[in-house]
This record gives sequence, structure tokens and C-alpha cells, in this order.
Amino acid sequence: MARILIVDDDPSILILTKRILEKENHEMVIAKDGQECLEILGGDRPDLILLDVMLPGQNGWEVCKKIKKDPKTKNIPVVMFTVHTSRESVEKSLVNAHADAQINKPFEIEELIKTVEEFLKK
Amino acid sequence: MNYKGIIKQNNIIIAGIVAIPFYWIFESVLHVVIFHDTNFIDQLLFPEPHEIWMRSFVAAFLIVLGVYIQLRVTERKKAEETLMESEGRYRSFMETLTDAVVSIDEDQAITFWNPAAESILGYMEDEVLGKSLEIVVPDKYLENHKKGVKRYLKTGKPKVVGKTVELEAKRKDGKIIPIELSLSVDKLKERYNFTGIIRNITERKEAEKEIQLKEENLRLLIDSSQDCICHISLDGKFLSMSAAGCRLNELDSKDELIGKNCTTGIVENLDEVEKGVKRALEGKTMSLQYKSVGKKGRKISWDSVITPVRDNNGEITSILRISRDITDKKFAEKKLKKAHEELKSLDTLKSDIIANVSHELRTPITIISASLDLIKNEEDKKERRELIIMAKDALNRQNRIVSDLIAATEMKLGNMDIKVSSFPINDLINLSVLDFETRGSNLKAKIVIQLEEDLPMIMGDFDQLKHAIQNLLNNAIKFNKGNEDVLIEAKKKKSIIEVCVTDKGIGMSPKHIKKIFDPLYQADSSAGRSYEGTGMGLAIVFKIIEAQGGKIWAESEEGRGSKFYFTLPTDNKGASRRG
Repeated sequence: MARILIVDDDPSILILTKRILEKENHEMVIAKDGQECLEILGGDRPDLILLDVMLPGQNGWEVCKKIKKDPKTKNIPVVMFTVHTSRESVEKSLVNAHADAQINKPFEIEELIKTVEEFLKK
Repeated sequence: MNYKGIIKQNNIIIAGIVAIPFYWIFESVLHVVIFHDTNFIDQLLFPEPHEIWMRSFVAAFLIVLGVYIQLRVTERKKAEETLMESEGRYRSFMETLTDAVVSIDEDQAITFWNPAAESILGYMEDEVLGKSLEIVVPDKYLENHKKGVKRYLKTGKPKVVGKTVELEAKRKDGKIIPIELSLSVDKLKERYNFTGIIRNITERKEAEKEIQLKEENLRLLIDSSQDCICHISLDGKFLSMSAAGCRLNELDSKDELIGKNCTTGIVENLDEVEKGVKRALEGKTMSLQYKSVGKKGRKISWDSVITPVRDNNGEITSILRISRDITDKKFAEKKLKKAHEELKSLDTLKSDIIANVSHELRTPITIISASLDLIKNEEDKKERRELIIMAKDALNRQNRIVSDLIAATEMKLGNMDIKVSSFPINDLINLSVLDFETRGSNLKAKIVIQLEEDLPMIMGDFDQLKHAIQNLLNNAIKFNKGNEDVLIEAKKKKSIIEVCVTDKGIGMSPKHIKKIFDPLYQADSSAGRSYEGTGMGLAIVFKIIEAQGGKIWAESEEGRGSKFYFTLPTDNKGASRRG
């Protein structure tokens, strides 16, 4: 069992992702925007972060950069969880924002579970 | 000189000498008759000494007389011959002269009329001698001619005399011909004699006319050109300018710039023009563009060619500058470029919209897809119901995006159909909110409606206005913070209704407010897009309200929330009614 933080401004996405991963016996923590996400990271550290890009205020890439810059949080794997699937966007996620992986929306449940498990094993 | 010649030349002297023996015989006979004392032979052969002296004296006298007479005769003959010769020469001169020579006396009677006068004026010599000169003076000159002669006779002061003037003469056939007249006067025996040399200048006049016509044609040709054609001297001064040039340069007269430097008025690329003139002096032609300012301040763009003008020997004598006014063309080019830029940016915007919309559609698709996957294995009825509602919500959202897209496309094409009807504003607001709430089951905030009492009926397209209100509500909720209420109000203000949607959300900076109604402002990458939505919502609201004759504006404070106002015209004819 692992502790996973999901950051998304869409309530339905939050509910659905939470349900899927809870069935895999993970503990789910929810944040509606970047600010909330960073606040949570100030407390108990999650084992994995699922981070949306289009967030109110600072976007997901900016949030990811901050996470990766902070020595306390930089080792937490961040998986960008986004509708931005172009090559350019993937580059922004992995190269610029230093995210560890990207899951494209819409996603297959199996793909989400598999990716999460992979990172948790590490 | 032979013998006959000698006789012919000196025949009188010879006659004198020949007369001596006759006289001798005559004297002998006379002596015999008078004196009867001598015989004839003695008298003839042996006269007395005094007879010999007498006869010798008479013989000498006869010889001297012959010589004298001979000399006189020869002299006269010589003078006559010289006169004849000179007269013959004069006559042949007069006959071969191509200019008419006509003399008149003080009474204007013609005294001389040479053959050229016959051919130029048509009258024969014997026809005109003694007649008045007035027969060859055209009517319009008659008065002046008479006055002139009178004046000269009276004052002796010449006006035409001694000069060459151009006049006209009337021929025998009545034809008026141009002539050149040189008039001289001489005084013989206290009487004036006027002699005019008349030259027929019909051909010269025609040639002059032809040259004039050619020059006129050239001028017309230059002046009918729409270009500014400038003739420039070797030292760079204007010699002439075409009519179009004067017009384009807003000049009052053609001579205004003549003598001035050919760079007068040029404000851009002056050095190019100077270079063009220099090149022309070197025999080269140069094309260039420059700008000048007209006399009244019009800024003119020119496309110009500067080229040398050469004479028949190939020497450069002046410079020609032909400039075409391309101001309008430049303006059109600029406009076209701008239109092209606009089109390009619109195209970029369009690409942005497509990218945006496809991203936007992915979120509801994600929800629908995940919900359906979960439903597949979900046993619990309640859970299944929740998932179905969630999927339905996502579908509604998708529907809204598609509606926006269709609305935006229709507006772009400019054929937004307005179905105007009269209805209570209360109905519109209540229905819009109700519909919005049922579509979005998981609203983050509550919508509060506040309507003034006795609101009048309004005019507009109900469905479009509902779309606009829902877009505003959607925005208000999207940018709301926490669980603050979203407020929608309606008030009557004179002949209009003012509707206001208030949220306590993140608000906007003044810089953003200016642009929020621009189509797809959010889609603009420079705006730092970080919110969901196609970015078309407010632009659509703007267009809808404008189409109903209303106004829309926003007030906002960063971090504290926004207020979106719009007005709608009331239906004056419809009775007010409570919704």
C-alpha cells in the first residue's frame, strides 16, 4: 500500500482516479490546485504524485519544477496526468519540468495502475 | 583689228581724209568757174602757192573735224553700250529674282512690277502699272496701309520703312497669302518713291506651323501622361514639368519649380535622386524610389527613372526624370500586408482553438471513458448510479463545448440568426440557472438569483441569451474560490435591464479585463493559459449581447472576484409581468 497524491481541478477526475487506485489498496490524497499540492507536500510526504497540467493559478509544469527543485521533495516520483499529449508537451513535462513520466488523458485503467505500480516498486 | 574693223571704227576720220581729194577737185572746178583764166588741169595739178596753203588748211580742218566727230560718236556709243548692258543685267536680275519687287509713287500708283510680283501676286505687269497698290492689300490692312503712307509723307518718320515685317497680301484670285515685306524709300525730284521687296512665306509659315504642331503634340503627349515628367538641366535645375507632375505636386502653376533644384520637396531617398542625376550625367539610366511632400503637404511615394537626354551627336544635353505616383499602390500594399498579417494571426488563432478544443474535449472523454470502465465491474447499484451521473455530466460539458464551437463558427461566418421575441427577463434567468444546475451535478458553488420586482418584458433571442448567461455562470463558478455563492441580479434602468453576475473568485488584472472579450483571448499562449475552457466563452457572450442591442462590460479586482454586467433593451410595447 502506498500514499498517492492526485492534483486536478476537475472533481470528476479526482473522484474517478481516487476510486480506481483505492481499489488497488492505495491511500489517496487530493489537491484541487498547485497551491494545495505544495501545502500537502509540506506535511506527510506521498510516495507518488499524479499531477494535472491545466490547473488554476500556477500550472502543473510550474508545480512540478518546484517539487523537483526542493531537495525535500525532489525524490518523489511525479507523473504528469494530462490531456496535452503532443511531443512538445511531453518534452515540457519530462525535460523542462523534470517529471518522471506522463500519463495521457483519456487513459486506460490498466495503464494507470501499471504505471503507478512501476514507480512504487522503485 | 582688220581692215574692215579699222574702217568701221574710224569711218568718220576716213571720211574726212577721203573728203580732201574731193575738196581738191571741187576747189579746182570752182576756181575755173569763178576766174575763167586758168584751165582745169593747171588748177588741179599746179595750183598757185596761196591756193595750196588754202587747200591744205581746209584739208587739215576736215581731218580734225572728222577726228573730233569720231571721238564724240565713239564716246556716246560706249555710254549707250554700258547703259544697255547694265539695263540688261538689271532686267535679267529682276526677271530671275524670286522676290517680288514693287514700286509705287506718292499717289500709290504702281510704277514697277517685276516678274516675281507677277507670279506671287497673280497680276501681270501691264495690268497693274499706274494702278493703286490697294488692289493687293487685304481689306483688314487697308486702313493701316493708307494711314501709314499718309503719315510717312507728312512726317517723314518711318514705321515700316527700312524694316522687314510679316504681313499678308491679296492675290488676283482673292487668296490671302502670308508675305514678308522689306520697304525702302527714295526721293526723286522731290517725290517719294516706295519700293517693297515682297517674299512669299507661305511655305515657311506652313513649316513653322508644322513645327509648332509637332511641339504642341509633344507637349500634349507629355501632359496627357499621368506621370511626373521632369526635364532637368545639366546642373540639376528644373527646365519643365508635365501637367500631371504639377498636379501631383500640388503646384499652382507649371512654372513654379522651374529654375529650382530638382530635389526640391524630396524628403526620403534624396541621396538616391542625387546619385541618379550624377549617373545620368555619366550617361547611365537609374531606377529608384523616393518620397516627397507636395506643396499642400501630401506625402507622395514615387517610382522613378532618371535618364540622360542626348542630341543628334550623342552629347548629353539634359536629364529626364519620369516619376510615377505609387502612393496609393504603397498604401494598398501596406493594407494588403496588414490584412495578410491579420489573416495569419487569425489562422494561428484558429490553430490554437483547434488545439484548445481538442484538449478541452479530452477531459470529459477521460471522465466518460473511466466511468464506463468502472461501471463494467461495479456491482453496487448506488455506485453505478453515481458513475452514470458523472458520465452524463461530462457529456453535458462536452455538449457545451461543441455548442460554443458551433456558435463561434456561425459568428465568424457572420450569419448569426437572431430569433427575436418578447419575454420576461425573470423567465430567462430562472430557466438558465435551473438548466445550468441540472447539467452540472457537482457544482462547487451555489447560484443565488436576485431579481427586482416588476421587471418589464425584454426583446431578444431567448436561446442565445440563455447560452450567454450560462457561459457567464460557468466562468463565475470556474474561477470561484472555495464555496462562495455566485450571484445573478437583474435591475431596471430607464429603458434597459441591467444583469450582473458576481463571483468572489480570483479576479483579473486591469490588463486582462481589456482583452477578455477578444475572441479566444485565453487561447492566446501569451496570456499564460492555465484554465480549462475553449477561451471562446466570453467572446461568444459579447457577440450575443451585442447582437441583441445590448452592452457588456466587466469590473474586477485581483484576488477578490469579478462582476460581469450586460444590458438588454426592454420591450416597450409588451406589458410588464412578474416572472
